[in-house]
Amino acid sequence: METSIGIGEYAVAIAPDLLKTVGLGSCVGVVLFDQGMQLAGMIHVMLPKNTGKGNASKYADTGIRILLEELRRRGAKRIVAKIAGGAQMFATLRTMQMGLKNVEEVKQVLLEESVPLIAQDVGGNSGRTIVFHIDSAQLHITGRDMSLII
Amino acid sequence: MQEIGNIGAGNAATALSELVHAQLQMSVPRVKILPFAEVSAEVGGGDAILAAVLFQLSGDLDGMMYWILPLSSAQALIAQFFDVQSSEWSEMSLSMLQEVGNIVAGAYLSAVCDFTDLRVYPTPPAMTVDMADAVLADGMIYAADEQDAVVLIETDLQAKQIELSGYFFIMPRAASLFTLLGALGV
Repeated sequence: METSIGIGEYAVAIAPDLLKTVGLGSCVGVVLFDQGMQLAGMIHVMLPKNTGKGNASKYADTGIRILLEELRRRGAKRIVAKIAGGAQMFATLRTMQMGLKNVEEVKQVLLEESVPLIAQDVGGNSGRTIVFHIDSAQLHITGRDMSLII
Repeated sequence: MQEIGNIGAGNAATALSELVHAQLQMSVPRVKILPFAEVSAEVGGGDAILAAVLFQLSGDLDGMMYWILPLSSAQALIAQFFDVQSSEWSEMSLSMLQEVGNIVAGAYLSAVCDFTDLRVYPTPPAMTVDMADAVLADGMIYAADEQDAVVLIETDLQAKQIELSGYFFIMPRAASLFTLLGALGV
């Protein structure tokens, strides 16, 4: 089964399911998984830091921790991360540097939570769609002119 | 709100009609409040490829404005200007689309300003061709960072003689929504 995750949302699933989120621009897709348990979660974060307003899962700092807690509650112990996204979609609009800020905060939170970041594809100027295959732990990334697996 | 959109749309339709020598129809603007995950459904889904011209608005109205064309319409517009059928995105075709977007959105915005007596300043246009969710997220992030839904003032445009359809999106920040309503005496 494939679970689609919308902007600012997250989901948890077990193998052989797939976790998918489409159209990551300046947003960052974070996959947290325990390969031994074949258990994974994906979150589509929009913003770096929670300002206390709105849904906590759209912010990197609170969202990643909510997902971590959910995975641990289900028994995950050896959790690692793969991330993708954080592009600058409109290169000339200098006020919007949210992609960079999102990536920095995601990395900071993973560091603080001692979750190893084992693969990443971030930055650039193009959108990404990502699909995580829980059984193989492969993150398939596709964009307008690219396709890769990390 | 619908009335100001209407006047803006009329102006933009005239501007674009003159550019492409085709009759254009604009819908009555709709004001919607949508959760983030549902915005891209308005333009064919999160992975639909769009050409988008984006302006940040400041002054009395703080927010983002998009002019959006589905891929097929962007290609039709390029063909109309350059007399070529091309799926390639040359620098020239991209900057042409950006300029058309600039003219059309400028017409839309100036009519809105005239009607509401608000002063609104757009940034120079920024443009990209990419997946809907990736393109629209920047607007949602800017306009609704403290909410869980975005206010969308949406106007559709449709041409008769050529295969052209598109959208105007204005995403005002919450504080500006009150300014806008105040200017209308609501």
